[in-house]
Amino acid sequence: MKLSPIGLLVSAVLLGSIPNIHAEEQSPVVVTATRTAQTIDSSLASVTVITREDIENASADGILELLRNSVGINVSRSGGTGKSSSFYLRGTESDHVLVMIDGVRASSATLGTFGWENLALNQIEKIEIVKGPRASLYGSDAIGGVIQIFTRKTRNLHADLTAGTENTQSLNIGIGGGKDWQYSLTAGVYETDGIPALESTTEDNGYDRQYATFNLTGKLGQSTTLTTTSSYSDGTNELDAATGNIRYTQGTSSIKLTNKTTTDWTQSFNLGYALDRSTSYSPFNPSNIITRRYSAGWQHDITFNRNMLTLGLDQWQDNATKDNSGIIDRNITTSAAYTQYQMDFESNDIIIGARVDEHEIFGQHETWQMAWGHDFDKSFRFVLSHGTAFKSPTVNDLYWPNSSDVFGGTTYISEGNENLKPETSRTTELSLRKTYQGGNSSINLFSTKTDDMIDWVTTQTGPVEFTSRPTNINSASIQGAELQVNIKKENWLVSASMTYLDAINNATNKQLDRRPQSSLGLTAKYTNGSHIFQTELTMQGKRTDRDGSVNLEAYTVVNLVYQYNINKQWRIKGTVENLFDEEYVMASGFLGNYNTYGLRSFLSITYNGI
Amino acid sequence: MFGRYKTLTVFIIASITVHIGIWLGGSSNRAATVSGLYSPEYSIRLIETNSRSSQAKTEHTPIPNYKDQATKQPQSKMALEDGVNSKPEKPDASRVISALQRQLSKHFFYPNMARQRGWEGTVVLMVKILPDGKIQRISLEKSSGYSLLDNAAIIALQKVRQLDPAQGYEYTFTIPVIYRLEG
Repeated sequence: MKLSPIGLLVSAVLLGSIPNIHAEEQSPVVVTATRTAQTIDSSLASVTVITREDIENASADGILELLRNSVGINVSRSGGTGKSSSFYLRGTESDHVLVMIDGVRASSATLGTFGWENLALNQIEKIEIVKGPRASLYGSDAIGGVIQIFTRKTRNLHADLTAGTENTQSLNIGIGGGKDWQYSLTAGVYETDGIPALESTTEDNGYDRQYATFNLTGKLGQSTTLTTTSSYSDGTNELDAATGNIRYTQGTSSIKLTNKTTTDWTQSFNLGYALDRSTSYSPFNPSNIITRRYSAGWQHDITFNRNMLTLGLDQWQDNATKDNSGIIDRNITTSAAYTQYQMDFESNDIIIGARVDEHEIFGQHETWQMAWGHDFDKSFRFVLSHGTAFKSPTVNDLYWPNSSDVFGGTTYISEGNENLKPETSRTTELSLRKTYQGGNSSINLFSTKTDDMIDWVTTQTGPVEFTSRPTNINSASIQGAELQVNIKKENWLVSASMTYLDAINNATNKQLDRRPQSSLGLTAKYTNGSHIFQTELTMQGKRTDRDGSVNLEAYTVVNLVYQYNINKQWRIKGTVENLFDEEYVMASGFLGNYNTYGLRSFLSITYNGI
Repeated sequence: MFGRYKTLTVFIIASITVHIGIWLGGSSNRAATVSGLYSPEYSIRLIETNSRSSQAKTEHTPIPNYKDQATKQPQSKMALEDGVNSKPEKPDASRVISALQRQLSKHFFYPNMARQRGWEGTVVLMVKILPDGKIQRISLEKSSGYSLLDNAAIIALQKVRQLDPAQGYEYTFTIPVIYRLEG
């Protein structure tokens, strides 16, 4: 019998997961799809992916400016560039998000939060924002969701130079290539005079950063792939003379081995390391805090027909040292085992997962998750999910060294609490997604209840003595709705999102700080040949700060971006941020409101080798 | 508290906005989906056919346009009757292929689990089509290295149980299916 090769090309997925077919004369059937989020199966989770191209098209000077337009995220920053930045995912706390850089748990072991301000946009290839609990796969912190950052992978020589308001200067150079073994190296410097951190001060608080990112990936034999990544930044964050400057170093390294053992069985083994070093030159309270996280993971993906079983082991050790102002020198180990089963049948897909974490101090904690997706037809999808999550107490919560200050004859003591339990949560989400010609839209409704939240509680422990210790005391109830619409028509790409949040502190019955009830984001991009115009609008509703005692007004910030591709190699970009010079406040502290930027403009020139 | 009602209100506003979005973005009915995201501008090329009477002839056919085929449904049905009743001397390759392509296009998919894990590869399938248009056998000639992708390709072809129109001839094809991720 003779064989007849037949050729056709089928290409799947322009938007969502629906096949799209192109014309091509070559022979085989080619089924193409856009890469979906790697962090989690995006068919069953609400995921926002920000690509390198999105970053390049945006006006953003830093990650806070980039993400504040995203659906389901609220941001705040205590001053200008480089000052402490917080992200609140779906109304949860700023440390209720698991931050991973190339798969490595990257947040500080003492603070529990990630130093967002020290990450350069030029170090980033892609950001995946996964909303909803993922503790049953990733463990502690993934209450509001997971933000995973994939570091920059450049395939050629590139360089860019930016200058702008407040004496901001940035230079970035990268090189990459290779075939069997692909490498990428990016390095740069950034500095700015900044603005006074507080509205009440007049001296600029500047910031600088040096950074480098390196990736190498290649095959070790027929079925094994090795990937290593390393990404670091360091610099100086200027603060008031009374507070003293901070010198920081922050970074992650990872090694991952992936082995295709059989056609049904893939396993991966990874090692990770995260460093967060902060040296304070405070005239009163100088300190040097170093936290390190060492992690190891082993995951198996086993295919049964169209279903997949995932089994994994995870272990990490938090190591924290602190000197000068009290000593912490601790290691805490967490070990975990997890399993997940993904089923795909007819127009349904289901995921069930469970995980057990064994924490050295508080012991065992179990989490689970379940999600069901159903396609009513090829363009209308519904997803229902429920999951539990937790957050382990930080090293500071557990082991803050006993320290006391005396004010007016009264002694104030603060110390950690070794008897803390983890903060826990449960979330239910309903998601409706519609795909249509030239666009898509989604509505997510979610409800999260968080219990045993840790807060420092002060009690009177003597006639003239007060002691402050972290306690599992608070609880919060969050209900929210997100709406996202993306439309592509001719030269226009418009994306609009709206978030509604009812995030209540159950003890006070007030909305949680820095979380507006309503927020809006709008991005419109117009492309005409080598000219690209983009407008961005961010609206944040009224919020409070300092436990509801300070009211922060609603604000709207509008940005404009114009890019011109001179030729294939050279591009210029002009940006105006806060076009209408809106005066607004993102955060308030005990010294008053923190400053924000008025109108800023930047000009950059980029070279991209072929 | 008010919370629930507010959420409900927002939900209603959101629904209205989504519908405006749908209206702006175009019709959302099935036809729009088929001609839009399921953009039918693909092509297929038959290099060689093998007839039951062993009078194999190599035919190069022009690339058929799916849009034309789709709008000429009644003609296809007539062709089907012709095929069954009069047993044409040589196979009408373009008809076989257009039937194949139309029916395949509905079923090929990239499994989400493979997309998430970045799995790519080429699956080679062998397909036997009976004279009455039935797909009789699908076999795996070469694995992609991932059974998930192999199965997805087989499932796609299994769904095409009956090719329409029938040919009156038996064909055996190998079909390489390349799964490739972009972006």
